[in-house]
Amino acid sequence: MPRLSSRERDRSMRLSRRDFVAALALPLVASACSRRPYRRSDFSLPQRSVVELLPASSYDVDFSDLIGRGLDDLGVTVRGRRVLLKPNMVEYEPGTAINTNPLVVAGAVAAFLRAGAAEVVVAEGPGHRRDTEYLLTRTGLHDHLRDHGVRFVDLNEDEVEYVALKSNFTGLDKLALPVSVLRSDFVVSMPKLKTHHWAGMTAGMKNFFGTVPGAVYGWPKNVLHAHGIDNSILDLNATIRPQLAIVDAVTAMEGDGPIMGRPRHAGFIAMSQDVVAADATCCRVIGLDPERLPYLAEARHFLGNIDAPRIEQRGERIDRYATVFDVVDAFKPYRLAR
Amino acid sequence: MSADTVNLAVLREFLLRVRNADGGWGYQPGKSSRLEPTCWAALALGSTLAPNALEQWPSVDGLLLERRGGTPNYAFQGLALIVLRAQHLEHAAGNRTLLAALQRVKGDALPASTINRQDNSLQAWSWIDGTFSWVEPTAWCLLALKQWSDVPGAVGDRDRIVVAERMLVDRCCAEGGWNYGNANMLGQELKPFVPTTALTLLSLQDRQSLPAVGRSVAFLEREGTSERSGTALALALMALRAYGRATPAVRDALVAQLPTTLDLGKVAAAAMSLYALSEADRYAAVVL
Repeated sequence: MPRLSSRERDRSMRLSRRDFVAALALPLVASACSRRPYRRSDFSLPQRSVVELLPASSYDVDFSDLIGRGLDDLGVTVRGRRVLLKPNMVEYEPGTAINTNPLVVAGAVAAFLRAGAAEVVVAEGPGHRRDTEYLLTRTGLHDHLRDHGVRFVDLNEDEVEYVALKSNFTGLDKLALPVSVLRSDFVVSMPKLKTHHWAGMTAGMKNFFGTVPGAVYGWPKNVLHAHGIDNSILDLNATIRPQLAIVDAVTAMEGDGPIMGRPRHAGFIAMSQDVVAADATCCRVIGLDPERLPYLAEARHFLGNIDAPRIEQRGERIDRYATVFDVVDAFKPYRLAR
Repeated sequence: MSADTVNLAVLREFLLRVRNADGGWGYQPGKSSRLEPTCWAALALGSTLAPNALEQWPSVDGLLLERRGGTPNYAFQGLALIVLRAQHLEHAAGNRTLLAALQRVKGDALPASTINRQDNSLQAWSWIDGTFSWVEPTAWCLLALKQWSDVPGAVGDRDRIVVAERMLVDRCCAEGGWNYGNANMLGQELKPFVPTTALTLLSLQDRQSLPAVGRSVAFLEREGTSERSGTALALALMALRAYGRATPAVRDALVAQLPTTLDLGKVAAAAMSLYALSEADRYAAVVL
């Protein structure tokens, strides 16, 4: 999606808002211009991206060990670095699969500490329910963090700095972002794999909506919706540049996600230093075509790989988990031809 | 010394200890001053213990900034006006200027919705400029205007109160209570939450004959202790008391939650808890 002229952008923003309200999942705004809204020299696509699919049939597995093995196999080094884990914690409802499971988060904490991280923090800024004390207590994450002596940062309330966006699909130029994210050495996206009624799928990239501070922008972070969900996903990922994705797809969500969908057992953890490639792989597993999801189709040009030949699958093969998740009607045309 | 007295002393000591040199409070100890925690801490500690940073809080064109160098936040401006009135304080820009500015701003109107059952034409209050109306900011601003309506000339546009009440009734969940913004989406009824319900009920205390209010009070009585956090329980305690309902279970739950609130360093929630538990002014700031 090339950058739009100001007039086109104004029009596209109106369209984005209207389309948001109409619940239509539109592709990224189109334009006759060919210039893309970022400096190519700021980005370098990996020749090849490794994605690990690690089996986890239930939440009874030892995630510290599993994730630790994933880190070793990917060659991730965090010794002496400040690591920020960004799980997806949106809402609590018993028996659902809304949030990254606290056991996966706790396993990651242990694995990174064992790998020599100087500090590990867990940080999230929920998009509508801003009472993180309730969410931390109810999900049990607070107990796990206390056991590990790890602090939680509420990104909705963190100190902020305005930063220039490294790409400009939204037309926002700059955004206030939490200093805990900006000053970390190593940012890890730890989403729950879910279908999403506006974006098609939410995993490693969409997870960064939770970094936008609600105290500054309000809830449900309308600034992002008003400027286009796909555009916002791209600008956030281009600016934050996460170093790793660890996707909780043990029990995922299908249907009317990210909150009202149904749990669906998927049985794996996906890990990759290329967050785009991790998302593309998850997309294929749940039966969606990554080339048709607008933010992934655009991300392939500058943020990461989505083409299968450029992604090396390790651990289990996609075929082992490949299935078709239910999605809302707007995304049924985005399904893979199988 | 009773357990209650000890709890209140612990909360007071915590708030005084984490106060910033500029007189305000951050969301967490050691963090820069922000409008919301400063409002709650000032309300909880009272004007004698907290000579008030609110009076000099930075503003632009009558709109209080969420933080120094930041942008306006309409919800917290509503909260600030409630605190200013309760503590008989005058903002440097003038309280009437702040009130006028709050009456000037409104949430965006949206086209008629095709995805949920709600009236998008109702423009109440949004969190920030350029976004649509939402439950929390509307409730805070509505309560502020109602609190100030007995001051001659302070509230110039009573239509804002009427529209805000209509918007909140429109967004009431089917079972009573309020979610954060919508009551239903893509054919599914959304669940109400305790803090949003408690806050909205505070803003509708003078409209108790509305069926939506009746359903929501019943929800809060039923579910008031179901969300364990300082924020949810403190607001539930205030709201149930405002409606003359029994509160011992909510109060006990709030006391039990205090160690977690303090462990997480939640300054605003700690201040809300102190205000709710101390009942120093019988909730005069939030009771109409």
